[in-house]
Amino acid sequence: MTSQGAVLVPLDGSDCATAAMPVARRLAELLHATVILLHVGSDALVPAALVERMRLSGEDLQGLVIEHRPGAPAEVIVREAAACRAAMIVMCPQVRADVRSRTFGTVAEAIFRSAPCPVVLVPSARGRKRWELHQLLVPHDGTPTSAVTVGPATDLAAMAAAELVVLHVATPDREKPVEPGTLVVPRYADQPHHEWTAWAREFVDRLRAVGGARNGIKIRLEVAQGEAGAAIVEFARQSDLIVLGWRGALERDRALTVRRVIRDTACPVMVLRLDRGNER
Amino acid sequence: VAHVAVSNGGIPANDLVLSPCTDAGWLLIEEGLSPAREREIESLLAIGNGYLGVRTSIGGRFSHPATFIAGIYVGDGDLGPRLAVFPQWLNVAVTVENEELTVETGRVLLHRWLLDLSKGVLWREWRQQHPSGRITRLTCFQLASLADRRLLLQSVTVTAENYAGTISVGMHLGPSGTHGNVENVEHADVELVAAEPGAVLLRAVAKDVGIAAASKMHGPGAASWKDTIANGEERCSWKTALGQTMRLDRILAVFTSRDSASPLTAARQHLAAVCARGFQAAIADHVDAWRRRWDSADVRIVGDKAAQHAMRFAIYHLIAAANPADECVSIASRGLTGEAYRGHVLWDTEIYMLPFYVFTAPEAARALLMYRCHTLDLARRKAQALGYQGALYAWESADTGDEVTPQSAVGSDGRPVAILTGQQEHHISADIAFAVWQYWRATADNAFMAAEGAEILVETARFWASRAQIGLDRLAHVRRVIGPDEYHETVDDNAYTNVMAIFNLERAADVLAMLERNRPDDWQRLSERLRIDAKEPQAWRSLAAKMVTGFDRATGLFEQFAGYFQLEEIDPAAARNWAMPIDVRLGAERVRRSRIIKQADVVALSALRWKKWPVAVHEANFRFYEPRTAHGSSLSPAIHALVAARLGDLHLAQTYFRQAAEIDLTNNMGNAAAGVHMGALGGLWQAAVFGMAGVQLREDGISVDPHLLPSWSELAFPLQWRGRRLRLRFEAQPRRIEAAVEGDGEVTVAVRDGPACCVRSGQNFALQDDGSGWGHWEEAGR
Repeated sequence: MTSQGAVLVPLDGSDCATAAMPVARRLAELLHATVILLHVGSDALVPAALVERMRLSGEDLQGLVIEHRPGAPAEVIVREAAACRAAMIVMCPQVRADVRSRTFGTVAEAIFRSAPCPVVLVPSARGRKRWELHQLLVPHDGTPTSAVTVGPATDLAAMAAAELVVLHVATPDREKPVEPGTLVVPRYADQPHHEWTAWAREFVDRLRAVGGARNGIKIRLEVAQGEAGAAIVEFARQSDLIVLGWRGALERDRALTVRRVIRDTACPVMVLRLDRGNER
Repeated sequence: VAHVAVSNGGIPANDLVLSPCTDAGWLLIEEGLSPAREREIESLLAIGNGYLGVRTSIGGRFSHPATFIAGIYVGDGDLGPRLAVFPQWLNVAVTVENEELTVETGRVLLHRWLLDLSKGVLWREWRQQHPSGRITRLTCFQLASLADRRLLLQSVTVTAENYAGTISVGMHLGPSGTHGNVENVEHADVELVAAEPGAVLLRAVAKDVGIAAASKMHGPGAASWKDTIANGEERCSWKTALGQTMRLDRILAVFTSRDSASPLTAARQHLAAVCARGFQAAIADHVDAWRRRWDSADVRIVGDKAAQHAMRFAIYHLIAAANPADECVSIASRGLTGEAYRGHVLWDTEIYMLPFYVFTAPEAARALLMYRCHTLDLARRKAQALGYQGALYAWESADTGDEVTPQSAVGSDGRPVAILTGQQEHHISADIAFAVWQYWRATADNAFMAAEGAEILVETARFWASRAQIGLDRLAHVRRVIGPDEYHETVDDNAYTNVMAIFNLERAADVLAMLERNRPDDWQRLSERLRIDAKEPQAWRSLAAKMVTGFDRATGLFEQFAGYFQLEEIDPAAARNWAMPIDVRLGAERVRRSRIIKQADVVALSALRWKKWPVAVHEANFRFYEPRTAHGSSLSPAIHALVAARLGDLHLAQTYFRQAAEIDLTNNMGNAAAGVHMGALGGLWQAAVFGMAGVQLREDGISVDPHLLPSWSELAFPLQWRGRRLRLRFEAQPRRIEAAVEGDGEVTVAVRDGPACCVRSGQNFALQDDGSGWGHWEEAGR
């Protein structure tokens, strides 16, 4: 993930959206980028009115840019993100409780689907408390495709001097992905002090090779058992940012892990589109 | 098998002195680049000759290249010594107009690896378009000479397809020749001691071992040559015309201070001698050595291409792993193909690999057993340290024979776990004794048995004599051990351990009686040197007779260890979809309290001691233990295939044979990147020869009991027996056996439920089943 000009924070005018701001501000610092608060809507709010509605203080506004654009929110936000070559969009959408129904509202889902850059989803419950990046969690299913997340994750880890943890979840009764080059937990590990170590090393080596990891960044591998979404949420209790790959589908019964994590975690989630390759 | 291709991939051989085999059954082909699988591919395509092993790579951040030299280890931290990683001497660095050619720069138009199993030669074809638009084609081959194990040979042709310009080819001898992912490579294993044009002297870090490499490149006449002495780089440059192809040949000689007091001088002198004969002669010697080796080892399977390919892949790596000329090294669990197991030697060698060498290259088998003889003092020391007599071999050993099993490690959950195998897995001493006996029976190498073999048998028997305890039941017990089933630690009276100990005790007594009777001078010498008490052999026999085996005459079952039958029943079949090793999923303690076993334990006894019990006993134990086995070791499937075949359960035999065959070729245990599984490869050979063909040793030859897998129409292989070569061929429909003998003397071939035949040198006999049973042996045409 290279430094780019802007970190875009879409605002819908409600103060719960401001939970995105501490995360956006810190990410912008790391990327040497500017935070742009973007309000889109028919009510042409002047910046001062927007600030008042969102109960932002003068200190909150230090270094930020506040913009208003008329039009259909999702369309405008995606267009603005492309126009300012945003490094990421940081937003705080309402997430629905039923993992099998639609995850977001219409606008958030449209942004999520069409964003030209990674999208960071911040749970509104975390409020506006300060956010630091000490540990990144990168769930990895062992496929070369999902390894794409590790490159941007190592970039961020390097910028923040943060620990990078890769979490591989072994899920019972789940077929091994058929993608060539996939490596998952072995069913057997003889003389574990030798073979488990060798497997773990190969897992990380594969990830580095395919994902384009930055050299010099230490990767700690953790293996969990169970349903992937639940295991990621559980592990993320100690993490500051989940970097999650998403294959671009949100239909019913698809992307269950992504949706479960987004729904249940209290940790900000950076979602990278796997179907578009490495977005560094 | 995914890697089989139907042709040699079209590698043009016109410009080279060698061409790859055109029979797809002898080739392992990797088309294109696969960064994800790169390290796995490096293992599968590794070349070697038992002295040197080379993982060749595409270079760059995907790679984990390495060169290993048998017997040279570095480091001795918590995890023990590990095989040293030497410079990537065969790496070729090409620059075109001062731009380096790498797969990561520009566009890969074609990339193909091709391992010619028949000749032990690795080919590479690569077309790369540089960002400048220049297209360069490289066709290369490389090999570790089987005829002269200190040689590495390579040839490179470079074609400037659409440009004219300056091409430069560089090769490194010094430590800077290491390349690949810097986070992967152990850089600090060697340091440069001295460099001169075309030669370097290196030293293994913190070890008093010197390694010299001397190299000579032969290139285009118009080329300019440069030696960068400080880092041992050789570079050759030339101006190429549009479309022109140039070839470089290179001979590289490697010597260590284990071979010569002056390895640098030895390497230079050897290189000069080889160069005087010429590159082509060195290639021809190597090709001929592989031809002869295959002639004594090939297993031909007709009707099942995947099985045939897997078998040749297995035999290729087994041939490449052994060096009959070096008695001070053994074959590590991953041979010289990767760093897993740190190059440590375990029981895999004697029980799983050694039979291949016994029956196809007895001199290699002897050298492997001599490693155990040379490390006998360390085995004595280990026994003594634990309060026993005789010799207890290290569970994991390296260059010295000292115990190098770590005492603790970090488990899969990140917590420290105690490693008890080094302290408790004692069956290895009996395994080595078993291997000594098997080697002697197959070869009649009486000189070996009268000296080294007998010494190993006696000292290991003494260990068991001190290890077993007579209980209140007046029976002999071996308590607090780990059997092959390592899920259950600290158990009493493991059936495998005790039965093998009985074998060890009885054979030690046998060999002393035999020497006293037939070779009194040797017996006298041995008795004096080892201070053998006249009562010892009888005491061993008496102890063997009292040893608990856990055998129940009523059921025909062995109890795997005392209390096993009382453990919780958990069906490992339920674990097939758990996506985790069963011991990780359930936890070591839960598995320890269950009947789930890791690998063939009692079933391994069936494989090794088939004639000791009636078939019904093997059947009962196989049916009991096979469903309870999780196959948590790569060693397990092949031995199950062997026993299933002997029992005539061809469906299970096929399933297990395939599982064993895919361990490396489809990476079905997820760890082939760190080297191929030598024990499993040896097990695969045993499954075919001892299982499907049912070969067993007899005093006057061998017996067979063919159970060809359903898809196999024919199985054929040679076997060495006491200096003679026996060629066996089995046909499925109608059942037919052919046996021919080469060399002096005769071999009796007996068939279970059929007649025996004494086959003399030059004769070829056949036996056919006409549907009502085996007929009579008849002389057949050759």
